Amino acid sequence: MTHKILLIDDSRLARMSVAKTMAALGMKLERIEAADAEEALEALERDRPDVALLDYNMPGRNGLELAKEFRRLRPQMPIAMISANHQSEVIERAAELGAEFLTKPVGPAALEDFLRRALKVAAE
Amino acid sequence: MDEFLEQFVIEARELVEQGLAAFGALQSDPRARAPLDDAFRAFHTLKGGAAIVDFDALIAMMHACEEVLSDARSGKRILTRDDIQHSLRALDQVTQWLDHIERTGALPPDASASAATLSAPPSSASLAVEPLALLREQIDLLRAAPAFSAGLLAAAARIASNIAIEAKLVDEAARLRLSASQSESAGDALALLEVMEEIARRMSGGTPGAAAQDMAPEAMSRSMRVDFEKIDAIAAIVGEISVSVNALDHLSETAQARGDACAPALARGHAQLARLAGLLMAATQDLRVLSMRSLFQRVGKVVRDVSSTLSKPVDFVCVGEETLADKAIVEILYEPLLHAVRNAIDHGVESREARLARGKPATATVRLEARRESGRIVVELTDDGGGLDTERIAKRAQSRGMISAQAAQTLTDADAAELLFAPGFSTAEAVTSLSGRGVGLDAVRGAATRVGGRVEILSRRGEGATLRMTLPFSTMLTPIVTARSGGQTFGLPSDAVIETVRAGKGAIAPIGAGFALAHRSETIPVVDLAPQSGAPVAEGAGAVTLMIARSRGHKVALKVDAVGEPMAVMLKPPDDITARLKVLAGTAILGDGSVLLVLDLDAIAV
Amino acid sequence: MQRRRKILIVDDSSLARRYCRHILETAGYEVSEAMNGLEALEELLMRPADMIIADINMPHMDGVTFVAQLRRQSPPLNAIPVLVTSSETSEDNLAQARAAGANLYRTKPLDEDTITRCAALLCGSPNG
Repeated sequence: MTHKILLIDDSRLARMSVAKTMAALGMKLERIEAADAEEALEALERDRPDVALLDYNMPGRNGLELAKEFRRLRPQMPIAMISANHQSEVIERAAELGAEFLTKPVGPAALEDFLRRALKVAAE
Repeated sequence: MDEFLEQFVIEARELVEQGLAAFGALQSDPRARAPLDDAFRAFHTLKGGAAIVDFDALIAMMHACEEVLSDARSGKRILTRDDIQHSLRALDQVTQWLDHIERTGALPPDASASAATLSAPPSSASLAVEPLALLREQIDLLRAAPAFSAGLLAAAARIASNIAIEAKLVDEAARLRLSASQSESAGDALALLEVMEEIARRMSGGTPGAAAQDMAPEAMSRSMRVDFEKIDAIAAIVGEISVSVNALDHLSETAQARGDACAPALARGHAQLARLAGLLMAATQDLRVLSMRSLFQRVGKVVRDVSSTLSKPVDFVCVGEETLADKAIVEILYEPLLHAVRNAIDHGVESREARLARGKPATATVRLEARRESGRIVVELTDDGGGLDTERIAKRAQSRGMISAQAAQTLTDADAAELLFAPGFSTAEAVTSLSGRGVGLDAVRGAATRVGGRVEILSRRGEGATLRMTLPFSTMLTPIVTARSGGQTFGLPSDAVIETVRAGKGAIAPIGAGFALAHRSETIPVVDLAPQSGAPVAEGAGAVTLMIARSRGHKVALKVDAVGEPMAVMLKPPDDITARLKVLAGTAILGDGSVLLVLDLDAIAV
Repeated sequence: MQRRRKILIVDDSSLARRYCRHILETAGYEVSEAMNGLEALEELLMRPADMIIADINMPHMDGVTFVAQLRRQSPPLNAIPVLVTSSETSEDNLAQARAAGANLYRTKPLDEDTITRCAALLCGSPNG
C-alpha cells in the first residue's frame, strides 16, 4: 500500500532534502508538497494524506498554528514538526498537540523511525 | 552544479534580500517586532539551507547571527548599532560566497569563516589533556569519593576504558568492564580501582610494553566469557516481554475500537515498544547463536574412533560447518547425531568384503551436512552403507506385537523407517542400521517436534540411509499457523503444513473406518481436528477446508473450519498437566492473553 | 553498532555554548544544549547524551547541584561522564564539583584542543 506523506515547508530546498531522504528509505511513499499554510490545507482536503511533516518556522501562519489547524481537522493524523532548534518549548508545544519532533536536517534513521510508527497508527 | 546547490543559491539570495530589508527597518527602530522576526527567520532558514548543502562555515556564521536575533526577539538584549553592522557584514559575506558558488559550482573553502565570526580567545590557562594524567584523576576521584556512587563508578570506568583502548590495552579495557560490574555488585570501587591502577602502571612503566599487549588479535580480545545460563535467563525475560507487548497491542486495538482519547498515544507507545522488543529479541537471539563447528568436530572424532575400532575405513565429509543456529538447537542435535553416526558405521556400513562384493568402494563415506533452508536448519547424516533392512525391521516389529504378520509381509521401506521411531522399538539391541543406545529415536523425534521441527529417515536399499533433522533456527520463536476447528483455535508448526485446500463434496470419500481425500493423484487420510464439532466430515453441502500436513512421515488432511494467521510464538513445552494431552507440542500465550494449543502432528491418531 | 556520540553543553552563556558547539560539531560530534541544570535534566530525560560539559555558575540550577542530581538518576543517565567548567579557579569549586561526582574540572576559556581531547577520552571518538 502506498502511503501519502504531506511535506510542508516554505523552502523548496528543504522539501527537496526531505524528499531525497524519503526516497532512500525504500518505503512505498507518495509525496505531496506544500509551500505555505494555504497550500497545505488545500492538500489536506484534496489529497487526504496519511502523515504530515511540518516545518516549524514558516512566515505568516507558522508551523505550530498550522499544526493546531491540522489537529482540528484530522485529530488522528500523525504529525511531525521539523525544526533546526532543539528548544524545549518547541518540543513541548509539539507534544501538546500530539505531534512528534524531528530536528533539521532530518536524518534517514529518524525519518524512517517516525514514518514506520506513524503509518502503523494511520493504518488503524 | 547539482540541483541542491542550485536551489540553495536561489533561495539564499532571496533570504539575503529579506534580511537586508529587515535590517533596514531595524536601523530606525531596533525593537520593531516584525523586522526582528524576519531577520531571525532569514538567518535561521539560511542556516537550514547551509546544512542541507553541507556548507559548514555558513552554518556556523548563521548560527551566531541567529542567536543574536533570538535574544533580541525574546527581549534578552536590545540590538545595538554594532549588532546591526555585524549582521550586515555577515549578509555581505553570504552574498560573496553565493557569487563564488555560482562562478565555480562549488562551495568556497571555509577557512575565513571561523576566524571572522567566532571570537573565542585562545586560552593558555587550560591544561593539556594527557591520558595518563586523566586516568590518575579518575583514580583519585574514586578513592576520594565521599560515598559509593554507582553512576560515578560507571562514568569513571567508561573514561578509563577509552583511555585504555587508545593506549592499545584492549584486554585491559575488557577487564575494566568486568571489574566495574563486580564493583557495582560489591558496592565499593576496589575491584575497578585495581584494574585502573594496573593500567596506569602499564602506561607509565614500560611504554614498549603497550605494543607487547597487542599479541592477541583485536577480534579475539573484543569478546567476553559469559555463562550460558545468564544469556538463557535474559532470553526468558525477553520472551515474556514479547508476550506483554502483544498484550498491549490487543489493548491498543480495543482502545481504538472504543474511540478512547488515549488510543493514538497508546498505539504509538505500543509501536515503539514492539519495535524495541523486536530489536531486543533479535539481539538476544544473536547472543545465543553458535556455529555447527564444534558439533561437527565431535562427530568427526566419533567417526574416527568407531571406524578404527571396527576396522571399517570411513571417509568423513562435512558440509556447512559454518552454519549458524541457536545454541539450544545445536544441543538438540548433539546426542542424536553422535549415536546415529556410531550406528551408521556399526550397522549400516557393510564390511569391506561385502562392500567390494557389491561393487562399492572399500572405504565407506559418511557425510554430515548442515544448511539453512528458508529460516530452518536442516542437518543430514548420510551413509553409503546397505540402507535399512526392511525385512529385519518387519520381523522385529512383528515379534514385538507392533504389527500383524500380514502387515509385516507388505511393509514398505518408508513404513519400516517410521517404525524405528515407535517408542520402545529402538531400545532393542542394535539390529537396525540407525538405532540408538539409550537414545531412542522416539526421544529424538520428541525433542525435535517439541521445538517445532521434525526428523525423518530416508533409505535407499543397498545404497545407504540418511537421517534428516529439520529444526527451526531458534527455539525462542517457533513459526506456526493457526486454525480454528470446533470453536477452538489451534496452532500447527508451519514447518509441517504443506498446503491448504478447499475440497468439494466429491473429493472426500469414506475409506475403512474413516475418510480420505483424493488430491493430486494421492489418497490422503482425513482427520477432523475437533471431532466434537459434531458435523461428520463428509456431510454438508458446501466445500470443506483441509490443511495438508506431515504426520510421522505421511501426509494427512486436517479438517478445519478456518485457517488463521501465520505467526511466531514462544513455545512453552507441555507442563505436568498439559503433557497428558499427548497431542500437544506445547502452548503459547497470544496477545489477548488466551492460551493457544500447539499440536504435535506426529501424535495425531489417524 | 555505529552511532554518533552526543554531547550536551550546559551553560547560560550563549556565546560559550556556541563556541563549544562549533568545535565539537566540527570534530564530528552531535551536540545538544541547555541553559541551566534544570533544562539539562529535562533534555537528558528525553535524549540521553554520551558526555556532558557543564558550567558551574548558572541560574535555576547550578553545575554542582546538576551533577549531584545527575548521579542520583537511574542508569544510563547516572553514568554519563561530566566535564565541569568554571571561569574561576577556586579550590572550593573544585572540591564541590568532585564531591558531586564530576569527572573533570577545567577553567574557562577552554581551547579547541582541550575540548576535543576531553571529548575523545570521556566519550570516545565521534562515531563510536
